[in-house]
Amino acid sequence: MASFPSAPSRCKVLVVDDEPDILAVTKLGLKSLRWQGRRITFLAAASGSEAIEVMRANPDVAVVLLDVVMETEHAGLDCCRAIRNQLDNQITRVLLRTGQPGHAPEKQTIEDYDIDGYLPKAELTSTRLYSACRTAIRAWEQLLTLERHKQFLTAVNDCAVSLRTYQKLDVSLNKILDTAIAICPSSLAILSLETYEEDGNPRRFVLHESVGEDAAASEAKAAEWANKIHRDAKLQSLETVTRVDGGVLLPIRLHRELGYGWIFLVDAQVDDLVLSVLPMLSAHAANALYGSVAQAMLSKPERNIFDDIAI
Amino acid sequence: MSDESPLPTLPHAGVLEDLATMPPWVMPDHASTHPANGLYSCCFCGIGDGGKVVTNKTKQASDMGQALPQGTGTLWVGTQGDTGDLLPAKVGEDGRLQVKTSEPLTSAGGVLHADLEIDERRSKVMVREVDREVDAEGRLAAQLFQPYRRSLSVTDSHVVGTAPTKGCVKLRHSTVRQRPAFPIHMAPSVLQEDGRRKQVTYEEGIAKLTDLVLDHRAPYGKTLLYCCGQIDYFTIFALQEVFRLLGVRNLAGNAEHCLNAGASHNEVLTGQEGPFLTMDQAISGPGEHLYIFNGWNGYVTHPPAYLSILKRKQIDAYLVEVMVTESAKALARKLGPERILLIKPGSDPHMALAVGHEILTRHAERIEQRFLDRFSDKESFERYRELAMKPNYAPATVAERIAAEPKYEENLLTHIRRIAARIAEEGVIPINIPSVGLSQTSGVVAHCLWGNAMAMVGKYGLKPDGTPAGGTLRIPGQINAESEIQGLSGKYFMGRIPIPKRAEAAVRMGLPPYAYDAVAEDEHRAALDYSDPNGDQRELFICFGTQFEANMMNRPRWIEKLKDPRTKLVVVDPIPDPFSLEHADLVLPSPPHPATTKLYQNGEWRLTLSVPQKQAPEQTRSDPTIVYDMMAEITRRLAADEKMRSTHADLTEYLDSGYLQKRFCPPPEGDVASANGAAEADAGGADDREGLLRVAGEVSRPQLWTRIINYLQGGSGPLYCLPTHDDGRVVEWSELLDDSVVYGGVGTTRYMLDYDNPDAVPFRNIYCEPGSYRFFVPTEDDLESPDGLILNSGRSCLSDDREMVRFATATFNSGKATPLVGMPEINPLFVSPKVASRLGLETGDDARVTNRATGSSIVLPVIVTHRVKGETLFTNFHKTIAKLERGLCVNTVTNHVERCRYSNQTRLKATRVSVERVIPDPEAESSRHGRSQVDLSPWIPPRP
Repeated sequence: MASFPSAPSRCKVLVVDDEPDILAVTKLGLKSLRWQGRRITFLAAASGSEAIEVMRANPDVAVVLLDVVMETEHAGLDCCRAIRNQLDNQITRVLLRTGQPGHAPEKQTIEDYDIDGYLPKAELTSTRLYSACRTAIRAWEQLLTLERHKQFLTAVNDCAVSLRTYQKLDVSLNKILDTAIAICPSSLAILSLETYEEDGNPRRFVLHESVGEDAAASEAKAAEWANKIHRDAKLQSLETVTRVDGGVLLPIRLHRELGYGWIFLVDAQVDDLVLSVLPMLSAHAANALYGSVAQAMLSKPERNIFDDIAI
Repeated sequence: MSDESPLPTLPHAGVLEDLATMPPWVMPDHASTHPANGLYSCCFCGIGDGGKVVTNKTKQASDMGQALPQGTGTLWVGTQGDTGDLLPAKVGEDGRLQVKTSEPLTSAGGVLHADLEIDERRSKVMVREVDREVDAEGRLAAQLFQPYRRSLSVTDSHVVGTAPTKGCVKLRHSTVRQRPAFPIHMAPSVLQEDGRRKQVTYEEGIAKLTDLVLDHRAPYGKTLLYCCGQIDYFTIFALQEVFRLLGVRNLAGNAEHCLNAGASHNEVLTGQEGPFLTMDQAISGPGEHLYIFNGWNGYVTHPPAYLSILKRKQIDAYLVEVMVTESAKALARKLGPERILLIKPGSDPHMALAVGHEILTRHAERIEQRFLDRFSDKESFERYRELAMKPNYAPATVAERIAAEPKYEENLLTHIRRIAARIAEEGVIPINIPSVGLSQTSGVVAHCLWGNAMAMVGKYGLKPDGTPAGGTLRIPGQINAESEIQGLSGKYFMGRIPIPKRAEAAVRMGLPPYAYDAVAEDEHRAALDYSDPNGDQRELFICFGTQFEANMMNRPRWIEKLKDPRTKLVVVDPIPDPFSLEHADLVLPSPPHPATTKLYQNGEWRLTLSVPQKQAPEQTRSDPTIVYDMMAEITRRLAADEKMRSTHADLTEYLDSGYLQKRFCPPPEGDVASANGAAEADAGGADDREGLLRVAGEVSRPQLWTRIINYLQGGSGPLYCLPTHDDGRVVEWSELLDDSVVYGGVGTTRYMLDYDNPDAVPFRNIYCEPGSYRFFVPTEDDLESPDGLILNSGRSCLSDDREMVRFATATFNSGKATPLVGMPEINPLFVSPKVASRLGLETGDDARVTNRATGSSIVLPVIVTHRVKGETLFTNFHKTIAKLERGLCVNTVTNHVERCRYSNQTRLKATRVSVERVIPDPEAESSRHGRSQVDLSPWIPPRP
């Protein structure tokens, strides 16, 4: 678990061309294009090598409109190769543009460099540019979602398989909260679990993780949130992940009424994908925590006095 | 119920805010700053377990104070550890981690897991990006991260110092941290004309209750006040004070017909029901004890008590039962199967007489003449001896007559003789522990006859040193029983003042002697008889507790009654059941058990205070406060409404005298909300001159305690059950704030058989007048055993399946906090192989069980098992999915008519029934009788 791509907040289009006017023309042609209701952010590069550096700093670019012939005849194709191989970016969509079609056979280029489109400059009308970009952005969005989904599921799975019933409960709780934070970064994350110790007496865990510089302030803030949620019957009754006061609250219900808990991620930026994945984490967590609690209870020595006795 | 505005509920009480201080209304100075004393009690089985909640908060781990090591080093990024990317990293004085990179390692604000090595020390870090650095050309140069730091706190709660037993899972369930069967309501609700419920405020709820109570005062209607389950001491007094003044006679609880034989039999024998053994003495006290468990399934009902007895180093015990319960198995494992004496339902009086016969004939030298001469009514002994000595009660004859099956006769005979010998043996302390169950087959009769067997050898009381000589230990349902004995009765005012002596009760309450005349005019009816049709009379049922309709015998009649438009139903309970929500005109939720104040009195006269550990929902009040607030509302209306004054002229007299204001209304300054100024009120000595204090919305308990004591010890002298110590000192409120108190000399001086003291008077009646032990002589009717197929019901699951046993021990028939976990789909009908063979029944069949008297029937799946014997059938009465979803419960076929003439106990556990196999409908095989196929395997016994 290194780092997950977050949901993009804007859509970037990189225009790579050694003709200075192209950027302005492209912006003009795409000025009505919107992504999630917002304008497109345009980046520019005048050469293949410059484009690689821009991509290195901005791996979240959605679409590259890439001129093929710039400082060399294959500068654009070299740039494309670098994006895919050197920068390991398989998500960004690439639309090639060239005024010299013979330099890049369309089919072969698309296959070799995972290119979404090939637009001869001579045929490039505003309408066609618009539709090609729109399609590429949608493809980028879907790929990004798939990639994030894959990584989230991997994280949930890694967390689930790492939870052991014989582990101390706090070890499991740490892993669960780490995973929640990885999926949904937050400056302050709190996990509360009301459950039972091995004799059946109530036990409450409150775990929090924060990036606050002032430890005491972080603890106080975590305690304040924990108490607030703990006192709120409606929040305690939630059955599924819910946005609450700028954060997100994820209920955790252990099977067989062996515990009630929740994770609250303060100031978390959540999108639909995060909201769909967090309940999976909750379900796995509940299952594993139930196992831990139940095992602790059952491991108490108890004679079986109900062996069959003939009376 | 309204879908538009669902009623506010809680899933469980754990979500309520914890209280760190004592509620001000229990403190003598009414201050809100006293640290919580943790006093807490079990709200279930009536044994009265209580202790102190101790909460330990331990911070197990925290790295909040730790920072990343400062210095320059390397960051490994990637999932493969060493094979990941290596990047230059530095941790500065500000604790931030700077990682030089031209590619962002995370998106903005993202989280990074990596390995950081500084000064050759490598550690895993979880950091979040907080900033970025760019070079002169605006390109990414580095990312800055802040490390996550964590802190874990663990809070453990234990109930420590429990008494009288260590408590079981039900004590923990009393915290209601598990979901109860139904949600906890947070506000009152009323039934609207369209059948939907509407949430109302507490004040509106009180107003509605007032409307209903006033509308049903005589001669406009009748009121039955019924308490299901345990009810606290203050509530009993509040009900007395308020509803007697309103002219209501019929105050009742479920002990009236279910639980009180264990208590009231002692009144038949000695003139008062008071106990003399403590649980500690009987269960774990020294001496050579002989235990006789009379139908007590202690393993399920009171595991700590039962297991403590079984763990005694030297144990001599018998279980008299009609089937092989969990307790039977446990005892058989410990001492052998011969210790389980299996008899026919309702035949235990015969067994007790046989033991008496044996003592009288073979151990006559052990008859304690001093007891007979000085402490007993000798004439009654002679009549008892005459009966017991009849050949019909010779052990061999009895064994033949009552053995559950012929093969048990020999064992039964052997051990009737041995029990008699052991009871008579010098030094042996016989401890009889009667169940609720057997009392419900023969009322007080068997209990009294066992008492006789012990008494004639001088083992019914305490020795001069205060240790037990022998006697009966009351365990099951005794809080309920004490409620009925001391207050919830249509025959007595609180303190056992008979209704005809109403003037005495009225004067003690500060009223004129005629104030309770209307109570005497109100017809006395047993609670069970309220299901009878009552013409056009309007009736109001006020139930403190829930599941009224399900817990009453002959349920179909109750459903009909409660659905009648002339009937109004009020339910005061935090966890109303679906029937109540559908039909109750008013639901007034009191706070759930951990959020309310309760003072319980159990069967050893132990007063146990439980104070709130949780903050009550805002729109709820405790039971006594509800009662007093309603009376305060009546007072307010009388003062403001001329028409009401004339309609309720009797009450107007007390308004004009100022009585109502002083007894029920808050002082003019209103609610005492905080400590400031309240301390000066000194409610501990409050004498009602200014009114009844409300402190933070609740009636002052110290003031009420003073009022109760004044009532019980004022007037013409101390009343029965005035809480006093051995030396006669009245129990102080402050003592109850410190710990539970066993009062009245129980376990020390009560029933002391001191033959050397010429002035010794061990037995007194309820008016403290000297009395004697009266040997009980049953009539022929008392000794009649039910014939034919008998349906027994109880708490046994009759299964070896651990989950089933766990559910049986963890739940309770009241359903107060019945966990949904492990709840069976249905309770099967257990049938002996003999009956099954005769009726053509096999395991898995459905059988229709029909009450022979009422004709009501239910259909249950059949389990054929050796654990029930002879003509006995059994079904469990705990909650099931079938009960919750479609109301399938045993009380549909129980009868409310046959009752013990001494204690009013119904014979619900010996219901005469007929049984027939239900022929499956082949076209509806998968959903016979509205149920899906039920997995019966947990109940199916292994092959013998």
